[in-house]
Amino acid sequence: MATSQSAAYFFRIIYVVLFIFSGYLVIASIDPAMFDFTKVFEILNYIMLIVQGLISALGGIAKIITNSILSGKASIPILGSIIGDPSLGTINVGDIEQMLAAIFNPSNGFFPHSTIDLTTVDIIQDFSIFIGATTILFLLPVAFFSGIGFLREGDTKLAIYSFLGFQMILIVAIFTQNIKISTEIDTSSIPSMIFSPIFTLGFLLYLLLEVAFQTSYTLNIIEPMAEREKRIQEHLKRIRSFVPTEEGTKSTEKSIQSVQSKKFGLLAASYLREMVERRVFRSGETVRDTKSMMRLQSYLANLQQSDPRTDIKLAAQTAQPDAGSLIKYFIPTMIFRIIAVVLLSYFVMAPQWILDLEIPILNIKLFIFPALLDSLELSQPEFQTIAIMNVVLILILISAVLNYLSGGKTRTVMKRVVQRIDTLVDFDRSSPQPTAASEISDIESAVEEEELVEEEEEEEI
Amino acid sequence: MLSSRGAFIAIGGIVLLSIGLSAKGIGTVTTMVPILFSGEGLIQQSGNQTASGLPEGMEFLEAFEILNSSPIVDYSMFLGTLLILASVIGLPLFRRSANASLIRVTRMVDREKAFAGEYVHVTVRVENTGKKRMDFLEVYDAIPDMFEIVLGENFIITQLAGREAKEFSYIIQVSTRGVYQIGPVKVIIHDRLGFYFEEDVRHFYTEVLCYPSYEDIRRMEALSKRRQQGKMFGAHKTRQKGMGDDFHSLARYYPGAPFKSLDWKAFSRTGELMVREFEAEKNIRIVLFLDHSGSMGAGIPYNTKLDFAIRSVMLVMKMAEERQDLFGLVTYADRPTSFLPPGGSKSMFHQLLEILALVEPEGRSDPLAAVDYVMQRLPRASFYVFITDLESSDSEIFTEAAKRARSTKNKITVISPFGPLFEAKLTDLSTTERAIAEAIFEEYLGYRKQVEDSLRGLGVEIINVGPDDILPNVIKTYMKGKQAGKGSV
Repeated sequence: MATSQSAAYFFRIIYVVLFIFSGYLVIASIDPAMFDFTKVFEILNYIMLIVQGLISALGGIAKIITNSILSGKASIPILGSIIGDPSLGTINVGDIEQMLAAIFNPSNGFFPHSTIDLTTVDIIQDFSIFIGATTILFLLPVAFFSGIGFLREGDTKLAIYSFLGFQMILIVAIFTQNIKISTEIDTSSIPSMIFSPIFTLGFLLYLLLEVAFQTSYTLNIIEPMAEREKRIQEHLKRIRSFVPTEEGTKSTEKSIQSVQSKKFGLLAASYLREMVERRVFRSGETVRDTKSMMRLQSYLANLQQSDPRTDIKLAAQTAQPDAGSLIKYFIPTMIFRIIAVVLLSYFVMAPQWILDLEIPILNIKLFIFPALLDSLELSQPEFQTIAIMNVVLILILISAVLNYLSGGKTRTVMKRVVQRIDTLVDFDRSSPQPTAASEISDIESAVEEEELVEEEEEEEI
Repeated sequence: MLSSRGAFIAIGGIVLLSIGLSAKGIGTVTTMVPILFSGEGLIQQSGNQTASGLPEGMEFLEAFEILNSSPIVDYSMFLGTLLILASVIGLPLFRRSANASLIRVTRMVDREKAFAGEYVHVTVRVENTGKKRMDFLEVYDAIPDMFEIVLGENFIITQLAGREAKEFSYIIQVSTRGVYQIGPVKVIIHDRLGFYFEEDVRHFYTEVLCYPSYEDIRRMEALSKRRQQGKMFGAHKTRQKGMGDDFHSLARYYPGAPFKSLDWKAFSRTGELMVREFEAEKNIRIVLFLDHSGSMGAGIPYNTKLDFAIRSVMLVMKMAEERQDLFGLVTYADRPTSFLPPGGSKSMFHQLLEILALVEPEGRSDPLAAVDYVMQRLPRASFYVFITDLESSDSEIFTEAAKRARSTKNKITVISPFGPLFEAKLTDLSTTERAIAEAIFEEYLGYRKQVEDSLRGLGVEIINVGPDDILPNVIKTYMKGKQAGKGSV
């Protein structure tokens, strides 16, 4: 168990290192202008100003419309006199002027930045900083706290949130042109692509996610099983060391005494009645719990006697994965995935090299699409999309073929087994029947036998 | 095949590709607009161009020109590509190694028959018959709702190397009688990153027969041990004058009485000739008719009328076995479903348990068919004890059944669980509910009175019982029947 826990720590440490490194790189890549949070409040002020202006304008428009409508009807002057407003029925230009002045009055004290001169505001630049700063303000804590949360809980959702947070910050920084590193991915060669700063950063962030998944796998497979083992061992210990409590014993004695005090004729009946009442009305729990615990205790003792490995099976100790193998398989898997993803990404992003690939010995080109090679479309996102679709389809096809091939041997052996069963005339009834085994398992065992026979035949050959 | 995690990554990639393509498209619009508007006619119509080359009135497109610059498009495309590739790159390897049919699962139970409340130890063995390693394997062994896991877990999350096997086990407690199936088994194989999975359900089952609870009998036995009088011909022997050893009473001498039975001490005391009478040591033949029609299934779960009836049957049968009486059982609904002819062997008790374990409430009740069935197979007079709620059959049918049974001198007693008492406790109900319950109670009682009236003439005793007194009443009926020598052998 200790070794399994150490594997979990190993993956956690890798994640922490990568997390800190990627976080630092993301922050370091962003223009400090994006950290100017005062812009957030300024823009919010603009927005508030616009909203207030709109509301006031709508109110003014409503008043003008009302006045216009009433002026039509209030050509009957009585209405104005009835209401007591002599201005009713007329459009008061002064009102409108007063209203507009109130909206744009710099000294109205409503806004902290009330001295804004709208004509001097570079709304596009300010707005881009606003977006950047807002993103940082909200997403950076999300990214960091989700990453820390993942380390605590091992929940992959949190790792995904962290990844999304960092990526969104990066995307926004690129979008608002607040990024310090070069955003160009140089696809002239694989090394130049890998060492393009933006590629490295994006890939590192993805790697962080992948390590998070690996860590999650380790935590999911190790921790629940370790907890389960610990829990069940505790239960076993508690059951084995269980001694009936004073209370339980007392209540048992009491119920027996009450029975003994009854007359012989209905003694049994009354006793049973008492018992039924307890069951129906859910009383006397202590006695029953004590009894069932004692019964379980004796049952476990019998099991242990018949099979000394009972505890191991109950605690599923054998299910604990080997920590060494977890780490051992992690490294080659990761390396394989990184290499494969980088190569395929390169093919998708710069398909020229594969389209222009020449078979060395035969001295012929793999694909003969001169028009395509010369086309400007080759570097366009549309072509990338087509390329990625092809890659994905090829991978799915390869998987299907491999799946078919891996199942092929089993199918052949199954066919033989079925044929062999068909040729059997008498079933050997005297052979012991399995108490609980699947038909599939029976067939599988036959398959295994067949495989062994095959192996033997091969050896003989 | 693609798990939610894998799908999330793939969809994320697709979304990013779409964003890249859309950004590129919008960016192109800002490039295309000046070109489109550079025609003479258009310029004349739209007026002058701005410094950025956009026609007047279309300056807002300037904001989108940023999209025409490649970084955002390139990054979206790159990240989208990365995510999509990452989500499918491991697929071939996964398909090559993850073959659920190579996982062999076997299940063993330490007992296939158990009493309700007892424990069963289930061991599951999972074996990878293939050579490839399974990195992430989940195996779930389904158990019926009636079972409660008291120790261990019914699943495992592990990894299996080629040809490796792992075992896990759990202890379940069977709560109520019946036949239950443990299974199926679900096998799920994941890849290490959790992007893909393969699922397979193995439909193989282990049957566990659960007898009714032995708790009542166990308590009874404990009680008997204390009393030391509960068995054989002690307090419960047949109180009939006969040729037994136990003294019954003194009676006046009558001509023909055996000379050896004269009690000389009583003669010297009273001056009259008195003879000693002894109790006959007779056993009885009791046949229990268990009604398992649909209405018997009513009541609180696990404490239905039928559940109580079964417990009663078990108790009586156990007592009869100990007292060497002959006991038989008929279960019936709209027809007799099982018949255990009266006997007294130990093996009979096990047969009886199996019958009781399988009884389920179903259909209507036809006591006449049951009586006919038994009378054809058991011509001798017996003590018939019906345990029926009298709700699923007409009173006429029951009367006819009683008449038939009485015609061959069978003695009949009916223990009748009274429906409303099993379904709700009056004290637990609100005032309105109580009023409704009382109305129902009255109606049931009226019907029962009618049946009682029609049967009274035939000498059939009907005992109405509730959950609190069904067991005592059944035992009492047996005791009384034995003492009265009903169905004497």
